[in-house]
Amino acid sequence: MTNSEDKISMKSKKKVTLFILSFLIGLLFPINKIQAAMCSGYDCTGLFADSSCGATGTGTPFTINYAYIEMRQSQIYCKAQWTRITNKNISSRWTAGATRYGGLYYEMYYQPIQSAAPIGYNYSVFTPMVGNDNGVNVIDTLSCGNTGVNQLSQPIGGSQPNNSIFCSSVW
Amino acid sequence: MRKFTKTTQIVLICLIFFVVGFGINWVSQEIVYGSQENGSVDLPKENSTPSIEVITTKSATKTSNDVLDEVADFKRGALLTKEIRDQLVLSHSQTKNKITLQTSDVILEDSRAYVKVCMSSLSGSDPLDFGTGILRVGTEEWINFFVHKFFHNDPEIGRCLILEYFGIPNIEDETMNFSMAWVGYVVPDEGKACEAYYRRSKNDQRVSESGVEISCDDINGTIDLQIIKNERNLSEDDINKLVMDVIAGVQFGPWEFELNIK
Repeated sequence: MTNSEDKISMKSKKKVTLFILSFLIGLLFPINKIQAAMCSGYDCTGLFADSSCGATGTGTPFTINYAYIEMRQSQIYCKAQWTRITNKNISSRWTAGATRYGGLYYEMYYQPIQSAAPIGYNYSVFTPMVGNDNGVNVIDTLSCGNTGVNQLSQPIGGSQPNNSIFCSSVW
Repeated sequence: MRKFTKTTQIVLICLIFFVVGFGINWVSQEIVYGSQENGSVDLPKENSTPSIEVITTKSATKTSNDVLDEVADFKRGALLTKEIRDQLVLSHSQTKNKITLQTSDVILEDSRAYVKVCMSSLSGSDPLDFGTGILRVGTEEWINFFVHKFFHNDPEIGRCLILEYFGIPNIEDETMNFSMAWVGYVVPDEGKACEAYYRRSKNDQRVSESGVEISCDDINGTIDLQIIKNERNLSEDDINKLVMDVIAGVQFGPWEFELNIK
């Protein structure tokens, strides 16, 4: 190979490297709508999810007594799960729920929520989060919820949430 | 001059590579953030072996035993299988207030009743979700069910769900009545209620007629409103209600169907 061929080859390599770098910068360019998660894993326990968590549904949601109970999670950002409860009755109702975990019947710990007043159709509340242990291991939880014409006593699911019709397993 | 042209070419090619990379980045994040309110895929889990013996009630009048049976049945979790899902074919249709609901017949199996229901959207608006879905035979009715979601590409059919009612006794009748008195928008994701309000209010006549303009902030599931414009001097309570009603988007039917039992 001559000296001039070497130079041309070097130039081509530089160009290719430049193109690859441009591609990678584009690929990793921060997009505004993705904010840093407010917390991650265990640190999220007791906090409310926000848009930075990127919530998705999981498991099979269900309705009990006009409460629509969804198990929610953020696998990528907040690494936590929680419960969302929506009033599906056209009349305003007190709407409450709890994410239950720990103990033989999931009775030991809970993250509760109750609407501040009766809420209308399709209004929802969601419980504080239960963060993954060490940010990795998903904690086994139950999602519980109910609606009523009167304020509901907490925690929803009572002393044996595992046997309650207001609670279902997420996983 | 020649050098400048070459540099420009390289810059342009770099820009193209950047745009391609950015495009892939954007699309992948859109997928991750694929919001449930826009109809994410959540196909039902395959049937797992029931851990509790099948319990069916025979009486049309509920006793405390029936209530216990309902709990035991509920605790078995959702039992929808691919076979049942494939048998649920849309065969009934009804349009009320510009919204079409389509349903399948009812499949009864193993103390469960399955109904597929699809809700069309109002033109240019967000997908709709169920209101109360009531299944009736004679004087007996069921309002509690598991919800299985589907992704559907056909805008005319809209958003589809399979409702899996539990604690269903043996039924001798040939038909069941299924009714949905109202429907509403899919509940926005956490922290996105204001985003949903801004989007939904554009198509909402109540907002344009009210002369209200607000700034909205979603904090811990509570919506914080600042009133920017209030031409008709509405009270704060009325404005709060207006905002929440726009987000909820209730639309009344009722849609009522006589479904064959399979």
